[in-house]
Amino acid sequence: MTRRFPTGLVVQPLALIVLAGAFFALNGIAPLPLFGRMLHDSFGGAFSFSQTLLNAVVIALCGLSVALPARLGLISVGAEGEMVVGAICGTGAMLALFTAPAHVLLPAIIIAAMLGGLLWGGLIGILRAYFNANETISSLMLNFIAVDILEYLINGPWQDPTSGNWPTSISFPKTALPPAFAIGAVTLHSDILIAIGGAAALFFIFAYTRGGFVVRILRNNGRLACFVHAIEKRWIVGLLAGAGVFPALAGIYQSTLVQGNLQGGFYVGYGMAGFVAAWLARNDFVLLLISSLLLGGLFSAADALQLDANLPSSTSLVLEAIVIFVVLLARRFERRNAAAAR
Amino acid sequence: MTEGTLLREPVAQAGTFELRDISKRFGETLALDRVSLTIAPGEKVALLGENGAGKSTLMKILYGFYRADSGTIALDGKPIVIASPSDARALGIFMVMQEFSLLPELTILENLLLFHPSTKGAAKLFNTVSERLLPPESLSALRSLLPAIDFRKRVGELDVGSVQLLEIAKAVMCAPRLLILDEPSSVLGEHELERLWTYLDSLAARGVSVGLITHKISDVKACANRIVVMRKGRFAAQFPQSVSERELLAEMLQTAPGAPVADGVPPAPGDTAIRYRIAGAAYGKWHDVSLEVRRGEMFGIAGISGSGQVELGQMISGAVPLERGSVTIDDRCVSEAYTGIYAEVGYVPQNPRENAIASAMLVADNLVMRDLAALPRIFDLKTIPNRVPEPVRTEVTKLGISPPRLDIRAGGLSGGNVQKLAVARELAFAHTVMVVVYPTMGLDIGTQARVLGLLREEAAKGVAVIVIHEEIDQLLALCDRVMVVAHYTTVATVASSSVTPHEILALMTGSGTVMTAGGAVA
Repeated sequence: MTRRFPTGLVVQPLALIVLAGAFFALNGIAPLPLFGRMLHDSFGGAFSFSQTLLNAVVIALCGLSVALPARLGLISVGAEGEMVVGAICGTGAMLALFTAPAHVLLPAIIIAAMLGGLLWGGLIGILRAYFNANETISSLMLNFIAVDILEYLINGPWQDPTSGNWPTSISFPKTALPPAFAIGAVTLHSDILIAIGGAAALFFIFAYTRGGFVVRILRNNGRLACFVHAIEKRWIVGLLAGAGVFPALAGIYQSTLVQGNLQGGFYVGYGMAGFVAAWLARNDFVLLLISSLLLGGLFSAADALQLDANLPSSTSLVLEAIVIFVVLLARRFERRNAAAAR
Repeated sequence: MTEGTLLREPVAQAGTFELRDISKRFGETLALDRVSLTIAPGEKVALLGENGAGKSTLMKILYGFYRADSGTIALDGKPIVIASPSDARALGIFMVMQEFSLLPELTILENLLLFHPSTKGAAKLFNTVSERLLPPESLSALRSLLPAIDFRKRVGELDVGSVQLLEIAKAVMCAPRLLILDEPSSVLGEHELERLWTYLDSLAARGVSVGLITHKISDVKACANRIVVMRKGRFAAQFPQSVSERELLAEMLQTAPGAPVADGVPPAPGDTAIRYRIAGAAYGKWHDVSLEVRRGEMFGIAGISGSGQVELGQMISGAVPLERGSVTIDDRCVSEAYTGIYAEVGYVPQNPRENAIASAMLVADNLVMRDLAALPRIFDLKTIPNRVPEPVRTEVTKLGISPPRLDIRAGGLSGGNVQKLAVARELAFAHTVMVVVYPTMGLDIGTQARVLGLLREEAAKGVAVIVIHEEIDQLLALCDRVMVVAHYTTVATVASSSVTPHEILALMTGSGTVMTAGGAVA
């Protein structure tokens, strides 16, 4: 087969710029200077790059919870709910062990968050494996349930009595904060290591282990379960449960290091962005890190748009949609070319 | 929607299709080498050849599924371009593939209406399905192919033979000029085949051309006006219907010299110690099955299609967990802690492409997956082609899977080679019992003989071989005892030496008397 120049590498960004430019022009803003600002505000300096990285890590952790079950052909959109449950469980641990020293409190919070995500993801898996409930729909609905539980807690039993009726929990004490560090002027939270380590570990599992081989077989043809002596239901529950751990960690990191307490709204947009990132990366764990970085940049840029161009922050959703649209078109052409080559 | 408008009127004029000098290459394999073929109106042409001879590829080019690398296609002398199956259908070319296209979740009627060109958009949208929406000629086609059809049954509940006939009926509904059938007989029982041949005769009488892809000599003798033999991607010979079976056999077998043809002498059962015993087994519609197979015995199970023999194969092998009852090897119970196919049992299900093979994975992946414990816990999955154990390689070589490579996608193999792959793998793991469902389905006669020969060798080695099959002659020639099933119950178990094919058929259809010579009444 002759190797052709991947024209998509040129055409796709170009289409992206034209469509986004048209969108800005329609809003009465000159696109070119705005593109400059966006680039500057996402990757242009230490502060903006820190913001981009912080966004990217949350997106990547949500993306892992999509890409992992996808290895079995499962489509989960439950990252948002898992984030929320992780934050709730972590906060619960903080409230229960408030006065404990850091070396007890912090691990307790992290483990509680992970367990929360494990159970929430596992619930999606159990519904799918043993009650034949479509995992996409049940994970979506469980998102709403998680948010309702959160709203109940921060408006009720967990509400900070000194907050002036504001729906938040009390603040996390210093002893409860996960480590953050800085490289030069770029501030980083330690969850970046979880994202990179998680992606690397999953890559390794699916390329180098017997278990990864079994999942690949089941994904390809579920009827082979009896030949390989695998119990498909258990794999479904296991993968979805494991997937829940990543967003749960993102959730507790957001509550502790970004918000400082448990409050509403910290999860908005990340679950969706994680899904898009996984989709852009075609569920490849390593590419997911790159697509998350790009979407993280988009998030930062959208914040800038809000300030500089008076566009609402939901602009990031429009830009995300344009990205999806362009990639969808590109994949369609790819398929058509492949069909023509056959 | 040119397709719909073109086809709303049944195609009145027939046409002559002509393929000239068609070549097609898949990677390193030359699948077709300058093949030419003409099909006249009302002609029934059979393409006969071994697996991988290029029959399906040639017809798939005519159907627009593949594009030829070189060569031309003409209709009534005028060159035409067929770039996709929808182009082909617009020209009146319909092909029924080996892989089915009906939607299992929908009823028969819904399926037919969904694909019928004359179904109005509103009926599709609002799902107002009724038999009245089918034109009378479609109904008569259905009735002649499937006389006892219940339109409200879901397609997923039908047996594979009925689905095949339904696929054919679906194609015929669209008023084809040329109907191509890919190995239709591989899943059809004798009665169903009878009906199909009669129906194809009536189609041909109306000027519809038929292209029949097959490797069975009985098919071409029953159906074709003209027989084209293909070998290794080339046109080998052409015969009128009057040709003798022997001549055809000779022509086909040229590539398989010395291949042993089943000689019809049942081997003597070896050790009489009871090895494999199933007692009071229940699963789904089966309530109480008991059978015993001795070491070295070849045990056949016969029944008309849809009698429950496929499920029985699953129960015997451990592909499904029993709801009641037990399976014991010697006196060891193997059905207690269920994890899948029982240890020491090899199992080749019907339609291995769907039920036994991971198509998107490599041949090597498919071979090693049966014994995962033999793989290390941590290793580079890319090295699997180097990790196929020697006994498995030996079986693969014995069966002559083509192309003989372990590092290609299993799904890229032809239907017969997929069957060989499954048989080879399971033979390597069948230490005590080998369960095979439709062992020769989709195989050319050379390979059929080889597969049946291997099964006999297994039996000679002391393995109990259980064969579920619909071809009674083969079954009787192969097996020591045959159990007949009907409507999810066992009718009788008889010794092959004491019964004629006709008597088995009578038992299968419920019109025979139960004979007990040499076997236990079930």
